Amino acid sequence: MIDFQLHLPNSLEDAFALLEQYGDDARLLSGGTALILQMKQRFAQPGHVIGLRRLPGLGDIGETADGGVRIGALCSQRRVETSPLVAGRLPLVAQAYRQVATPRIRSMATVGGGLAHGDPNQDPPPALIALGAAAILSSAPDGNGNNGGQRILPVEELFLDYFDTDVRPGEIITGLVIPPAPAGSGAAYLKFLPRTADDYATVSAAAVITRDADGHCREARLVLGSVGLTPIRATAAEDLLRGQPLTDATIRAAAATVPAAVDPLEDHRGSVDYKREMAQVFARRAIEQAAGSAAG
Amino acid sequence: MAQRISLSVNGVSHERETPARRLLVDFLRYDLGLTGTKEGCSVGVCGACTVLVDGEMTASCITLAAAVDGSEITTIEGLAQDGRLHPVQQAFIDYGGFQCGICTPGQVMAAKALLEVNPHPTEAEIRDWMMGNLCRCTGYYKILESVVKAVGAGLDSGSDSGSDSGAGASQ
Amino acid sequence: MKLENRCLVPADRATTWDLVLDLPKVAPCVPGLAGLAPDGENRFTGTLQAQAGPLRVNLSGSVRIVAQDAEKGEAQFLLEASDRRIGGAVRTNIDLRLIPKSEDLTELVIVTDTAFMGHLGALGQPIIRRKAAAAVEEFARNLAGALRPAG
Repeated sequence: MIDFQLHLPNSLEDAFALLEQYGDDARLLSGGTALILQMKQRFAQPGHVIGLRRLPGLGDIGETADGGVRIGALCSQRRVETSPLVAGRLPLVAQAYRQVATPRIRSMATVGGGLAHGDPNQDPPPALIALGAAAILSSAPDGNGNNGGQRILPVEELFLDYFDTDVRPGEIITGLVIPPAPAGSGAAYLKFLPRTADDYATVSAAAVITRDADGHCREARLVLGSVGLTPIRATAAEDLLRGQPLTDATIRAAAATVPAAVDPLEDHRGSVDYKREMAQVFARRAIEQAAGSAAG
Repeated sequence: MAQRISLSVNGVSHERETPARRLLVDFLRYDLGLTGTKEGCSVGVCGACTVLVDGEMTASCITLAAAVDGSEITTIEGLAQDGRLHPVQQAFIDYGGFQCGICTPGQVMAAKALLEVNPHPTEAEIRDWMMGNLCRCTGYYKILESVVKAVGAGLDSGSDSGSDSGAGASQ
Repeated sequence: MKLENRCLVPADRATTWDLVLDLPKVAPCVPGLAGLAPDGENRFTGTLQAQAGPLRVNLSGSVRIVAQDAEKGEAQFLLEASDRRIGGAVRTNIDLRLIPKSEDLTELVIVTDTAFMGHLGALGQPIIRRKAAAAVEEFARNLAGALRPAG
């Protein structure tokens, strides 16, 4: 690892000032499970590392006025997984965080760090996007023409490219807001994990299905992970489900649009074609499972 | 760049000048001489370097010592109390939970961390928790048995199963 | 690692040839290339910035025109550059072929054969392929812009 200077600001204001001062040469450090690895591999070589662990008030989980959940950026992924509030309100979120790596990594890795990492193979983003979650990006008063504000960015719009996010210079992800699951909805997150239990997914699929009084699909959200440069929302499949009865035929027809929607990279987990096909299979299963648990 | 840091390790506080890039595992082993913590994969996967930082299970090979300045660290050397091994350590000895031993400190620390959040885990919960600790000798059945027995022995009863030849678990 | 990328530009072959073989002139079309300066005959130095995933690469080195045949519309370049901070280097043979498609349409066939050395070898090939293809597309767009008659 190339040497660098470590800063441990005690307040967000100090962190913003450091970001302003060191610009491109600075990287933010929370749990370190991504950044330290990148630095060890020399993929990242910042001259300044700004450790966030002393920032106050960013480690809590609470409820929002509308019955959703708000999670501080420095909250460990393990805390999300074990939070009774999250399990009660948004079991899909607990389930997705629970799939990340190992208990030790989840104890270290933070919610904000995971989002900022922008790795398309992570477990939480598909579930968060399917639920319509948003990241809270905070910046200093004089930054980007705002007056010390917060930018609320849907997680769906956060990921721009492979390991690239819309966190702008001077911004720090300070939290995550997840709206309540729609009434009558069912949800599922499936991770295809043929190799080892702590691996990244070969493909993953998150589905949130809402039924209307007739049991038909009122709303569908389907998001695929590990099959592109970012998580991918399968809007064509969603369109085919909306308004339809949730039968084997409609679900299969929707899942059949998935191979064309995804854009996987070949790696040791499988070829492009294999991943396209598995994306279809796991999309179908996720829709089935979500539909099965959605109450009409 | 060197910075002055202060860490409490197994209840003893240490102040040192250390480069920012010093990893916690190296700080423990080379600066403090606590060689019980092992480095295996160096990428946070194998679990050999597991220590507790403010009670949280942590991979010390991907943690900067200076980044956890002010924290309380528990390593394998800190488990025995007044010459008595921790029940997990004792169980690993009594039930053969190690072969070559390099993964053992990490296995023991992980098991201790589990029993702290879940004193009575089921076998499935133990398997699930311990999946982040790899054993290159593949001695998983004995490791599992050791943790199961440590649960049975209970954390309160201490090590009362006789043997005190327990240094093997921490070297 | 060998990559072949093709693109079309809106100009005849001779015009296209004159531009792409005039490296200082074509340099602004190459994404991430900066500071190109002549360094001996048919040789130029400069820097190239690229990003693939978590890795931001700042290469500095040289490009040399190894061979050129205006009649056939074929040229070979050798690019050698290193990133000392990352501790890695690349050596790329570039084969360029211009195929006339019509009076005002030329196809560029760009075949690159790259050896990655040091830490640059650690990145996955699929992502490099994808980023390289995107860079060539951008190059083609820029080139098309430069070739399009003004006005």
